[in-house]
Amino acid sequence: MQAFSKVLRLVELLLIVFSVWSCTQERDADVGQADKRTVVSLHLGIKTQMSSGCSSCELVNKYQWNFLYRIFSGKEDIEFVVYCSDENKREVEQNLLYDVLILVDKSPETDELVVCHGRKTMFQKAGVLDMFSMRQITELLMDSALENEQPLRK
Amino acid sequence: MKKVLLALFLVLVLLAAIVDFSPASIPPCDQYLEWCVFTYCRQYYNPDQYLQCVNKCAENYALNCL
Amino acid sequence: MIKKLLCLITILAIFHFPSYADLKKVVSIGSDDINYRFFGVAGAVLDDQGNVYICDSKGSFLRKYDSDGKFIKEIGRYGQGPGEFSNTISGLYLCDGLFVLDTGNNRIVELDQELNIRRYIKLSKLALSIMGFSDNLYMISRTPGRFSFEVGVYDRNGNYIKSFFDRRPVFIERIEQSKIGQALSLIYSSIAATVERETGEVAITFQWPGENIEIFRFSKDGEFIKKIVSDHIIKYDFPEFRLKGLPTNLRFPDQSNLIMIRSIHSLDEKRLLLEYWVNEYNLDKVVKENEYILIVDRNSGQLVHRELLPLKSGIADARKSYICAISNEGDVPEVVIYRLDY
Repeated sequence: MQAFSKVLRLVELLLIVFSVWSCTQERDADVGQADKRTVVSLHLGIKTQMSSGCSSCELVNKYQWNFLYRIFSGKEDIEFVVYCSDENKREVEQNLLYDVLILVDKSPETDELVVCHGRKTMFQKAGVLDMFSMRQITELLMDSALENEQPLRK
Repeated sequence: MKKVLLALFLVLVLLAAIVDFSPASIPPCDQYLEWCVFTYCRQYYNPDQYLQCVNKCAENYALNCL
Repeated sequence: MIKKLLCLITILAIFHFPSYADLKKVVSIGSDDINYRFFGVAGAVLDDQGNVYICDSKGSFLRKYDSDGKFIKEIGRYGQGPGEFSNTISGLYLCDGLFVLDTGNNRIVELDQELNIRRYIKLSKLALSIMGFSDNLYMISRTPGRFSFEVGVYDRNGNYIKSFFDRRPVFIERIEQSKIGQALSLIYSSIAATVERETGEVAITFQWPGENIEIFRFSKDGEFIKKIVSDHIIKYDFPEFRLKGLPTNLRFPDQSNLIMIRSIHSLDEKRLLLEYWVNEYNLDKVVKENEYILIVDRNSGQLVHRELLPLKSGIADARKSYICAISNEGDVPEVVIYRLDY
């Protein structure tokens, strides 16, 4: 049983790697824009049966994600994408701010946040986003914003 | 050469992900109820929401641990 | 005529704004600035100079702000190593240094007030909250083999000395002895405690009170001093149907209410503060909810003052006239310091 769950975990990890990989590949066709756009994506993790009591408990990175959106969404070249399963859709719509919502069949075990700038993956982190990570992401997005010389929405 | 680099990259990412794959830890059954009720549900100030959360903890405990 | 009008206005004013007229907001910390941003505040304490220490469970960090709410320092990131915190921090306490109860990492982190880590103390069992006085640390944890809670006394190295207060409320005895009933009796026997900063006296109360509020006073070494009893602010019997567990086939009464004492704090040697929630139900729906601050006399249990708390929050710390409240609801979690003058 344990070996099976390890295999499952590896498959999930491969899926994450693949999604990050495809994140860089998708931009290939979009040559003119590709190098300037920053995509911040949140791949929502599957529900953990034992942990929760309430409807919004699954969104462990709700405050973190909404914080990033509120600070940086005014910037045209930064796009916020949420990937989630169909069963999470309603909850996401009610709790998270985003530009694009993409429904997926399979989700990683825990939340996964990825920042891609053009073709490059600038940041990737699984689990709950701590303040240390949030400072890293904020700095990254600040740099990205300054690079494109547009004012940020506060 | 490109393929070797790609494979190496994938192995590194996998390793990093395995090491750093640390979700919020859920304790084993002997500690689950206390953890769920007194640490996890603490985020709900309102007694109604708190009690709902607590009931869910008891349900999970009964289903998975008893 | 004018006199009558003034009188009427005064009466109206008294009836309209009596609730939290005595509670003044002093400082509010929490915004979208990265140094003032929180994701899930787990604890906050005030020191004698008015500095505020705040630990955030979801962000895995500890911060210090001055009495004006200005950011001073931050430490911590997610992990198990030195300088790292888990994302299940259960409490924060100030007593000759700061003590962070890091449940996820099964340890207590002791720091000085400049947020330099002094040492780690390994936990021998799951603790729900931490307090301290002089050479003692106090932790609330489950009594082994029983469905009740106790206060454990430990030395500063985390070595167990003794336990006291192994009681549970009377209504728990009426619970049917099913597995779910046992789980619920654990929940309803939960306690809250506080330590007086000058004397070390420990005051303990049940979080889910019965017909009265019972407060048990102990010396710093766990010797029983006195039990005091306080009246509820509404007529209240703990509704029996709430003890039955999951309300699947349950018929709710038309009207009922639920009271929870979320926390107890020692304001000074004479006064205790209770964080007191009242929810009023019609069938299974909440029709009214209020959170009060109740100030009771430590000797008589008499209600000295009551005040509505103006936001959905939890009280993390109280010291003399200052109350430190946490709010994790809304878009931006915040910590608010109030001054209570009455």
